[in-house]
Amino acid sequence: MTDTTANKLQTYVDEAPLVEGDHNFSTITDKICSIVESKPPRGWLIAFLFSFSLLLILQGSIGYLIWEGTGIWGLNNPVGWGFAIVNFVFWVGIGHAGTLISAVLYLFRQKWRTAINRFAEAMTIFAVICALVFPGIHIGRVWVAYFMFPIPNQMGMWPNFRSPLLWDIFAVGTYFAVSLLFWYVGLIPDLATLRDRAKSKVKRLVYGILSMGWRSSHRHWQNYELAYLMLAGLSTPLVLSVHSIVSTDFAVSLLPGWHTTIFPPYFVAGAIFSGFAMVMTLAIPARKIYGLESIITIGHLDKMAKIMLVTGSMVGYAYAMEFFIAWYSGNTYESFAFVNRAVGPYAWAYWIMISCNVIIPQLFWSKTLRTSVPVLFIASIFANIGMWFERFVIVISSLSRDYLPSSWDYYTPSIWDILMLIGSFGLFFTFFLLFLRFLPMIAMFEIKGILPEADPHHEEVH
Amino acid sequence: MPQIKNNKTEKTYWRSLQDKMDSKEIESFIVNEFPAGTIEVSETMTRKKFLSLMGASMAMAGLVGCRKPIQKILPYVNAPEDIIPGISNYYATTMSMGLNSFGIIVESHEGRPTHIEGNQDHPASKGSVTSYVQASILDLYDPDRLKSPMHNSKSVSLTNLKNNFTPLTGDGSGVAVLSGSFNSPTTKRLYDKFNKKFSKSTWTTFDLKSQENQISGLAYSTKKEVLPIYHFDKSNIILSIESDFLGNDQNSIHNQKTFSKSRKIKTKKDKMNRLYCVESTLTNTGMMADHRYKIRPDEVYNFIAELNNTLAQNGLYKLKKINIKKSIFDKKYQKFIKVLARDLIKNKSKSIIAIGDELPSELHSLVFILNQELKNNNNSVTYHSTDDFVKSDLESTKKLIEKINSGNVDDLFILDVDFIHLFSHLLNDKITNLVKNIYYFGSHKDLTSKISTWMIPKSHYLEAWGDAKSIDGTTSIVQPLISPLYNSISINEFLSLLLGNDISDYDLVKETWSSKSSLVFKKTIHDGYLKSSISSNSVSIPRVSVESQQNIFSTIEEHLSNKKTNNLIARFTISNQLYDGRYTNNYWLREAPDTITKISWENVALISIKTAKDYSLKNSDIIELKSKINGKEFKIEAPVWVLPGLPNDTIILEMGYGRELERDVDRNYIDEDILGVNVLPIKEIGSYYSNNILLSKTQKIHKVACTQDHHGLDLEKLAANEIEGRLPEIIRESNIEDYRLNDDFVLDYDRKKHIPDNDSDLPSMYPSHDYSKGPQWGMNIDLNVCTGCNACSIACQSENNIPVVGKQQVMDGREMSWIRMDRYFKGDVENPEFALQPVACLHCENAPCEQVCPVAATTHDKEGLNGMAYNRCIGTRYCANNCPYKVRRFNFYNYTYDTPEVVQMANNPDVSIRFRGVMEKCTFCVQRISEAKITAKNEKRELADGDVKVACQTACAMDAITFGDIIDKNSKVSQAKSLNHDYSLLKELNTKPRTTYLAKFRNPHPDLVKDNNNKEIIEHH
Amino acid sequence: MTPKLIYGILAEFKDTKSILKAAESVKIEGYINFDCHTPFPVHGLDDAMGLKRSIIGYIVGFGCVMGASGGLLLQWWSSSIEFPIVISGKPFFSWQAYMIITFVLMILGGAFAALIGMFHLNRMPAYHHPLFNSKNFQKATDDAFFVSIEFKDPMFDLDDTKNFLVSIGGKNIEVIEE
Repeated sequence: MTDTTANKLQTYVDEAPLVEGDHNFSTITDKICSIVESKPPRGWLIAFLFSFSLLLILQGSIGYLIWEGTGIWGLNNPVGWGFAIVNFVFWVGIGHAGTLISAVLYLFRQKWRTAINRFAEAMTIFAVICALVFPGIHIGRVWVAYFMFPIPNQMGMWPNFRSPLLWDIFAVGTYFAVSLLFWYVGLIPDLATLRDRAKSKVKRLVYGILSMGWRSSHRHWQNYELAYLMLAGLSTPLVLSVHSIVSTDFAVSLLPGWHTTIFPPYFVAGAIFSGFAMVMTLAIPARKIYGLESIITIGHLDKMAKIMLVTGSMVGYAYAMEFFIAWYSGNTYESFAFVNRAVGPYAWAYWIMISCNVIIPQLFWSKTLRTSVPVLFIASIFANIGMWFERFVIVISSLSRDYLPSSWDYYTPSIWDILMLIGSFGLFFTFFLLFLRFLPMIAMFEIKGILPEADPHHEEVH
Repeated sequence: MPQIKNNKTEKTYWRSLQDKMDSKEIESFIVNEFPAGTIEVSETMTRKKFLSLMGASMAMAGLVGCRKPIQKILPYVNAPEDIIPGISNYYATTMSMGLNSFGIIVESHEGRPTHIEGNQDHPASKGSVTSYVQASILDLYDPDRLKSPMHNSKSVSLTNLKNNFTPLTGDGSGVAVLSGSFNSPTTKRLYDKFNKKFSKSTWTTFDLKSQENQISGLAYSTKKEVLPIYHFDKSNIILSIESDFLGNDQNSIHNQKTFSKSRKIKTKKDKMNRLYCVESTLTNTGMMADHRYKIRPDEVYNFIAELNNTLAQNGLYKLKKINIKKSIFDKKYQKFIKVLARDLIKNKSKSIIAIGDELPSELHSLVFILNQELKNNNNSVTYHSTDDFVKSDLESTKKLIEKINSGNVDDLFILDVDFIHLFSHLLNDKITNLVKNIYYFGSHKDLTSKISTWMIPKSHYLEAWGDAKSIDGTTSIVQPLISPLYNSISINEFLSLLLGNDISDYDLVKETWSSKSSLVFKKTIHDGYLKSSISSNSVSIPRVSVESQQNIFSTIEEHLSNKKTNNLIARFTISNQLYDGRYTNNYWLREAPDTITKISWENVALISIKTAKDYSLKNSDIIELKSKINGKEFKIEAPVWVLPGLPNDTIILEMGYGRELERDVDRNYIDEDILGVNVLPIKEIGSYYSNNILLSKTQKIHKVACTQDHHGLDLEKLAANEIEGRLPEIIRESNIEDYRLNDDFVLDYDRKKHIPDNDSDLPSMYPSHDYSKGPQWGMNIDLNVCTGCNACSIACQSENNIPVVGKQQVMDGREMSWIRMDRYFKGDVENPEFALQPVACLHCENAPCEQVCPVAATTHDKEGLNGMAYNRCIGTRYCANNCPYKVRRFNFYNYTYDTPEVVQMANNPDVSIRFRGVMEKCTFCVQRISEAKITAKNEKRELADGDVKVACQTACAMDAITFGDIIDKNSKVSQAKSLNHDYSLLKELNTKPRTTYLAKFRNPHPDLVKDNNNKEIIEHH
Repeated sequence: MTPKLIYGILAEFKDTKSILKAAESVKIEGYINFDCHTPFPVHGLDDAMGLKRSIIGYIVGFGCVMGASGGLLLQWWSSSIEFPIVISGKPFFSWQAYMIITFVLMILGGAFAALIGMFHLNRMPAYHHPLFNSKNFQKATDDAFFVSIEFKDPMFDLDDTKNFLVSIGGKNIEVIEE
């Protein structure tokens, strides 16, 4: 690239160039396709075997759960919800960053998203899959889970549409469907690229079918772009609503510590926070292993760190606000629920949450830390831990001490709770690694679209 | 008035010890507790039951002369004509326990007895039951019962036994019989026959819990062998000294019934009795007391002596003063005794002094005199002859042990007494080396059966004919509900077998009743008791001159202790769960948590906080207790539990535990080997406490299953203060005097919190549903009379097929009992007051559980019931989470999958068994409601108040629970709900519960109120 | 050996700028059945090719309306007509509680409409297309830009069209057969 073009870049990129190094259309194609076309690196293989074995653990424990009953968990009366629900909320939250990056940033014409949106979306889908596992298995009688769907049946019975759990089913289900569509639509042109580069017949066949006969016709591009815009437009309110609806599981109940109106925005902020943390956790090793530093640049990481800083602080504000409202409400049960979180038997969990979600992100005020990859990686992992504990604190500490002191009890997770948590990560990473292996992890056509030479007038601009 | 207000605010509430301690102490003490049940009563026999009884008696008329009703265990071979499949029959019979017997109505489904309720007109049960009576039905279906006679541990057929079993010949020399006391005329008849035929034999009677001291004490004064019956409805002032007349007393139903009569408050004008309680343990009675003073067991002489003297000073001049060198009681107690004495005298002839059975006889004599001088005798206390009873006799028991030790017993007949459990520690040698032949007539393969040459299985009382007497003399017939499940025989059959003839127990009973016409006999069978015999035992006691009783006073004088000692004392009590151990294999009773400690499945060594500190003990530590009994040293090991309100340096030990049984079935979730500790070895036979116990702490820990604040939760001040703040809302109470000035005090809390007085004024997003069409079911529970006995929860368990989950699951916080008895301490840890609150599903009109269920498995029906559709439930547990009262119970495992078939026979066929993964809870006995509705429909009439009686309601001897249609303004429940002191729990949540509570009242003596708030006592002369 | 039918002519252009020009002049020349093929959407091509705005927006709108009304209808019918049952003493039709699912189904309807609409307008899926016969055309998804003029265009004439494409700077002119 010539200096002039490099300068021209500045005109529509605010900071560092979106794509570094000497890239043109075909180099982009080669770079990204080669990942799929060539043998996977050793790191991938090891990672895959590891996460697959975790997946097996999950399957094993689910089998045992269904055989023996929910008694194998640490649940009791009053703590009717344990790890299962915590994991569910956690994983749904993780998903959000994907949609946010691909949809919201798309609407805001944030061109830098193109480098990360593809696998952020993939991450969304796999996270939602993990999430959907838990409500499925946490119920006492898994084999009648279908009672929850409005299926006409001989009993003439219908689900109760007033129940937040049913709202969840619809919201998360829809969220999964829409994210899948959005992701797939985005994939079509790149699948076509893979089809056209495919050497073996099988590959050509498979990618050919998947790409649905895409021939980069501009008449298609026209509909395609609008449809994509529409999907983005729909996903945006959806992503904001999903975690709000998940939060109603708690907000709609009358349990002190759950029954609070701040939950929807606070859950969404938390979701975005954790989601970006997870993107970071995935992107940093990925760009290293596949040498994509030039495409997923420090600039990208820096931007994500900023978002984490913002959302982290929002979450922190929410924590503070909860306490204020609890005190201000003058409701003894409410205020106790929160004091109990901070100094009660679950204080340890509460302070893990605070330090991971509120204190650690404050590091990102400093540009040097924001741009140091190791710091970012570690911080992102802490953020994930913190957000898991946030859900733990909300679910368990509130349940374990509600209105009548006589029924207070302490919840201790059983080994199965823990195995299933670990296993769910196995599920997530197995899917994700398969995605890296067989699908273009970066939206090639979008990257090309933001290269300088993609602009017909780029030479005239001055 | 303001001053009283202060008292109110000064009361501090807390739930358990750690709440009261700063965090450091907390490390060292963790106390748990939990709720127990209530007792309940039905006013009148429902029309339906009456009809069924008539039906039953008709049928009987046709079947008299054979075991009846002739019924086979399902399925039928040939169905008796009085059985309509699906319709339950009700038969009257009798359960005897100790010297008393309770008339009961047994519900029978297709020949399976399934549920027990009290017999309305029987004076000893008055329509209610104790938890023991309630649970006794489970013993019938006990899968571990001995199933056929055993000879040298080889089973023998019954006919074989009857033909070849002739152990006794000659005059019976070298023969000894050991039995429990009994009140059955037939058994008595055979007993006399036996003693006549085998004149050289010795028959010994022993009860772990016996009235012997009482009888002999009263005999000393009155020259008659009598037992007192208290009429609390006729008394304003009640003093209980070590007496648990509301709890583990043999006549507790009568006591509760009469007690609650003078305890129920409807209007400002109603009077309420005042209960003073002086005890060294902590009993249900103590928890009900308006003034409870703890004393060490070795101080009871001093207390009664001082009371005697104070009474003498204050007006009972006939009393003889006891010379007390030096009072061991502090100012507080001194004042208490003075106030108490004045109060008693002020209420002459309207007071009662009741003292514990186990206290030494001279004290019983003295209390008799006191009651006499207070003009209570023959008024509030009546006396009833015990001549027809075969009573426990300690001296002869001791002799028997000696005889056995000295090898003078060749043939030992043990009739349903676990000899080894009770006495093995008193034997010099293995019993098999001391006695040639041991014949054991019992129901279980316990330690005694192991060493006996012959083992003859005992029929359950629902399997055999018999008869029984109550203390007041009411005679009744025990008729079988089912023919024996196993090859067992009744005690009467066994005795006649010993006498050499094989006569059926029916004929034996007939023979005893030969004096009565067969019509009377039939009528008695039908009614369950002989009307003419009611209080036939009562004897009026002529006045006894105090002078003639000199040596009572002198004996007492000898026993006075002159200074407060602090040597360790072990105080032995009868278990609230196993009684004297006979219910060791009754899992309903085993799992129902103890009223006071809230511990289930086991017994523990209860100690006071200070003692725990002194010996640096904390909950679940295992301690070793040593005691020297006439030269020999014995020791036991038991886990420690700290309980408030206990005297210091006193260890409370529950007897009856530790009975090892050999079991046939092994159930997955129930650990049969959890037996508790047998504490008898360190107990001197015949005394209820042992002095000079040596306590040493072991390094071992024993996990105890406690159902309130599990696992020593809320150790922190935080929780303590919170509970302090919450209880005024949860349990609303007032001093009776307060109430007279401010009769809607229950609203004080709401008003302080700006909660509107009427539910209808609570803000809501939705219009409230219209429940104006009756019947609308509702319940009311009177906290003022609930003693926290477990009868209601056991009744519920029996009626609703609630599974037993075993100790581990209880420790995991998964107990299934639908009725949770919340128990709270209040005031200072040394002398707490108590508050009890049974909580089952409150059937809220705006039920929070319903809206969150995704599949509409829990919904409201048009009669206001919060229903559970088990088949629809998928088990999200969201409803339980959203229930502010936490009354929902979840089947975490498939608890019932290995219930033995025979135990399944105890199930109520009208109630489904819940499968794993399903939520369950109180249904207001919906099956009874529909049964009543169908009956009413068939009879072409409207439902009347009282047609529906729920299981807990009928069981409650305190009449604490009322149930019915809240639309019908005249129904009992509506009237209860209309009272000013009726309140709904957590009203501000706008759940509109259908179960409401009547506030608790206390009736402290004005002069003692200050003490209760343990402020400085200003002595005024 | 049946005579092969012609689909059209394919011409390659070097970059976005030239494809833009080419499209312009093809339009001016008067061709209708022509198309541009670019590895990524090139901005300005719409006008260059004289395309009208896509109608997908309306399809999506329709989908949203269907989803929302269907959802609300289902909840109303099932909870107040088919299976009316008292829950927490709330009205059978407690619309406040039903809004959430209504909203979610609106989004779902819209999303599927967007996908199906796009596929329909693009006549997708289709596994094969004559253009795939050209080896060179595979670059279309990599870095090459093409203009194709179809045989069925009234102005189509094998030689004239070929020359015309050359004249506007088309490289590797290719005749594509069906």
